[in-house]
Amino acid sequence: MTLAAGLAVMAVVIGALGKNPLQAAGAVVDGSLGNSFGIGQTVQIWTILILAGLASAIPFSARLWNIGGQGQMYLGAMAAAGFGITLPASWPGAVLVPLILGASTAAGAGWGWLPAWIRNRYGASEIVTSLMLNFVAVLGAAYIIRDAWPQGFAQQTESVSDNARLPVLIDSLRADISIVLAVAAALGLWILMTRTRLGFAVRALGANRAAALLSGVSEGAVASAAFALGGAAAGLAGGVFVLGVHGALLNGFSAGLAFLGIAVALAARLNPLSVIPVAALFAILRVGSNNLQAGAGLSPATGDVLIAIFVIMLMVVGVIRFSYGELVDG
Amino acid sequence: MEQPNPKPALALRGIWKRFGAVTANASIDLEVHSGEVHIVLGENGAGKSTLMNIAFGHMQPDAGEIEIEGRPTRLTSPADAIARGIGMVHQHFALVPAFTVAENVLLGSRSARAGMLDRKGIVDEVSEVSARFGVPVDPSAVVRDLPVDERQRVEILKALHRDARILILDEPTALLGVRQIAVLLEIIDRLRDDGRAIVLVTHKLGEVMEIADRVSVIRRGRKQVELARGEFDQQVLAKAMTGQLIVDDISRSAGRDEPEVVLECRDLTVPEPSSGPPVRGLNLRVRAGEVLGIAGVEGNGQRALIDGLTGSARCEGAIRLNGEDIANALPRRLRRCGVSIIPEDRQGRGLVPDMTLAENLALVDLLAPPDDAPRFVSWRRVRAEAKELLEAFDVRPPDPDLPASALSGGNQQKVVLARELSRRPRLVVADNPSWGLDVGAIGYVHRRLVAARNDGAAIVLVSHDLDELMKLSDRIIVVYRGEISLESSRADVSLDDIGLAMAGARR
Amino acid sequence: MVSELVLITFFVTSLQLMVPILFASLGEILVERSGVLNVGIEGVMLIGAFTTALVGIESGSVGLALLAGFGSGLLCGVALSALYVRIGTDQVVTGLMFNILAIGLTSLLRDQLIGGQVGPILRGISVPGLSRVRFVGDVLAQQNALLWAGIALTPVVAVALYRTWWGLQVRAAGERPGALAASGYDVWRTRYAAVILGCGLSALGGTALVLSSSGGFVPNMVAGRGFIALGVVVLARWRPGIALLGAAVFGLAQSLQFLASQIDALAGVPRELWLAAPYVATIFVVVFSLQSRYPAAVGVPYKPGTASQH
Repeated sequence: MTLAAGLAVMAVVIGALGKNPLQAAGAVVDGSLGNSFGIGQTVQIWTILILAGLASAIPFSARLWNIGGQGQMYLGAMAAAGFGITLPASWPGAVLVPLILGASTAAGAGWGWLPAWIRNRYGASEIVTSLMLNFVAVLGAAYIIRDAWPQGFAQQTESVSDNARLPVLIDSLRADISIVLAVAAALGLWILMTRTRLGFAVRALGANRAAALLSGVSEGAVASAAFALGGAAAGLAGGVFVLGVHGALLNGFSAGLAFLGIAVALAARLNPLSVIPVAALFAILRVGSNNLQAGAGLSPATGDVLIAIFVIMLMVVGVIRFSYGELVDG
Repeated sequence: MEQPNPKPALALRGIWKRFGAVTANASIDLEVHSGEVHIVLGENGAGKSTLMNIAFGHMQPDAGEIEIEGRPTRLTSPADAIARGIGMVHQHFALVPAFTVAENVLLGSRSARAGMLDRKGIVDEVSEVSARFGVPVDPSAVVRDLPVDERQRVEILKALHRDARILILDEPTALLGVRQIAVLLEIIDRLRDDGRAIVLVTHKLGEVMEIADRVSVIRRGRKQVELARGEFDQQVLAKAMTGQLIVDDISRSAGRDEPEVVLECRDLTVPEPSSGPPVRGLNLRVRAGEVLGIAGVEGNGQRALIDGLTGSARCEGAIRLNGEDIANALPRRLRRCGVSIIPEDRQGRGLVPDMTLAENLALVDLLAPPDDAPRFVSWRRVRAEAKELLEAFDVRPPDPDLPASALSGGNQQKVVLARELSRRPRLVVADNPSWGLDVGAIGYVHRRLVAARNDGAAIVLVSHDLDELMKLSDRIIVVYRGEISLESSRADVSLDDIGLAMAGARR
Repeated sequence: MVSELVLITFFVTSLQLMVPILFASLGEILVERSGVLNVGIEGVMLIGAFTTALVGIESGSVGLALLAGFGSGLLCGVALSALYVRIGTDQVVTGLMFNILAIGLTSLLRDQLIGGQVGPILRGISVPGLSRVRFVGDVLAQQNALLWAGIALTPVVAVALYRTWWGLQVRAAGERPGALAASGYDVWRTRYAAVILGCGLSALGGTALVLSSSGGFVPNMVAGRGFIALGVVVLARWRPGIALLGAAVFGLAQSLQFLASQIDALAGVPRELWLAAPYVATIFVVVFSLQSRYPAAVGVPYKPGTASQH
């Protein structure tokens, strides 16, 4: 239902740009799913978008605006690059990969926890702080790339050792195990949100902060947990980029995917399980729109534009809705 | 009294208004003439506020007509109403707390002056209007810092400054003490003599007797009767209003001889609660099986006391619960110690409207669980327990999967009671627990609170409603400017004593 | 030590970098005072920058480019106020989506329409009297009209907010919209006006970026300045005068890297550290502006008919 409405909106937009929507849709599908290279890329983006979507969905459920997914992703990538380069290359993959991804996850969680801590300790809005931490993290990565482990003058670090690369699952698609990790993360967080006390506390805090506080929720702990969980997912995405996609830390590697994760979380209505299909749809759009240049005469950024319009439309028709507390007197 | 003009200043004819399945107004007629005070009397939830919101353009009626000075009029917004000379004093004042009195008054001014504000001129102008009508306020004061009666006067000034001929006052006495009510009634008297038409909405009989030229009684959205001065007395009105004789069916068990002290506050100061004025150096004790009623004009520190007791504001001094110091404990710890909280604002603080009844009933258990509680939630068990509680507390409909927002106010309050009282609390902090409910629901709330008291809970009850306090309390204290101005057992105190203490007199 | 030339360059750059943040902050103050949080300010600035570059390149006229930048901001304001105010979507996420849209749209159109071309830019103007003063004259001689316009605009915005009837309405809409409605005003209309005008001003921040540099457009060239403005507004406690100071501080912070590169003693410090200064500074600003209180109704959409409640 929602999906059909969304596709209709996109068709109208593409039509408005003077292109044939069917032709464009054909090009999108062809580019993203038409050959093994396209499929492989789509699966990669899908993986990242699931994790980036989770990074927003969990804190948003507590009505905490984690806009720092990009920075958390960068921290995860920096950790992966650091450990992937410096840990002994002779260690087996079965040790290296879990160790490094664990470090990425922890680094992302730590960076995510920071704005929550500042909020708890000083009452400062997490919107501005988590945003600013993005820039700090990006500059940190720039330093690592330029100074710590430079690869000549290329815009990337040295490569991580071969044993640290993610095992490939399907050779022809160059698909590695990261998609399995991402789906598992979504499932795990879904169980956490719906079946545990912590998840309930997160949701209660988001649905009515005042009532949750009076009922005894420990706001600091729950906010920290929500932010750290989100950061962990983003950090894992960063690790996946380094160990899987690129084999090194690249300047500007995230290519806007962290912010797109916010769109994924919203369109999935913050449900970790729905994040999986929504991320797939958006991945198809994003990868497929690369093919539009040749196919229907539009630029690759079209995918992002379409996704943004799609999500705004969902908000306009009320599919995505947030409740607001009463204004406080005095 | 002068002969009223043939054409009423404001006439509502055949007003209908429905909200979903609830009919708030069913074919209501109401007329008010210049130089006349028309009182609209009814219980909470009878439909009075809806009618007044329609008269001021906040809402549009489903059917019916509005005439002003005999001319049919459509009021699509407050702007329309204001342009036609109607002014309204809202129950929850429509003032900007961060603005000064003068800025607020000017915000309501419809004079054609666009462009620059003349700050000095504003203050002078407001002083002039305030002197002319004998409505004392300081034009440069910031509204946030004003007590409730002065805020109300600002609203009246707002209407007078733009020369409103028709004044609607929605429950103007609800938050006032005896002395402030007297001041208000004097002001209203002067405005009547000045030839203005006044509609005053209330659920209190007393003030009707004093100033009404005409009374309309509304019950369950329908007008029951309209009486002119001389035709009504307290009994007639009470019967029309409630449709029944009020029966006090509350049975309280005799207290034990020397029950233990559950709550003890020593030198309790809540210096800067976000909710209003502070309390200073309060000493009080509540024993098991005792209801301590707290009276006071709104804005004299009762809010601060509640915030201090419920861990919502920082406080100094000692608060002991069965001897254990709980000053500055967060709600989480209070809940674990057996404190139950019934907030005044049930939609804002009592419930999570978007969550199901089962989730709302489990809110405290899940958010402030004992240390050894499992990390996973068994929703099956939560639902089963919810089902039992909904039946036991007579919530309708007793469906645990319904969102709390789908219930009526009375049933929502029953859900809060079910959650808070089923935990066998040692201490209950109840803040205006029957505010805004209909008669039946009020009776239910009262019975449940007394039952909790009979079971040995200590209860702190804050209420605007003196009748409620007299009915439920074992002891009563009155707060005035953040301090206790009267403390007495209920049996030894009269309503007059309480009224005097609320106005600041000490015994 | 550093030479006078280095210091002059440092202050010249600082003032240039201050201007975009100043316009963005002034615009955002108007918007937030009316009870709306525009996280989409970054996108508004990008669209302002792109439109300025496009019109400058096509027409060759600086004046037209400037007007077009402002006009594009007003249009963004129309679209955003429809969402924020009329429909009442959540302001934070709507703003974020708008940013994604703006980044995508401007880079898409750049590739199709202007590529790497550059247009006209604003030249420095000399201020009579000041230009002969040592140092100060040198710094100010290189500044263009937008700096002076921004400085002149600051008291205008302050007067509009505090000394006019319109400002009274705007502030009431941000503090207690129900009270504004009960006083007979249209809350939505008041907020439309503030959001549209505020977005126009913010877009001029993007315009300043283009007209004070190359006259061309680079994808994502606003680079977080809109977000910095959100922090400056908090620091300034929603007062235009303090925002001017705040913008100046951030101008200095952004050119620290240049100053540091000229000081031998600091050569070992990685340049990323200096580049991070404005962002870290913003965090400290919001952390230590605790007393500053957002207008009470910021972020909460207003629904008519609820006025009697609040």
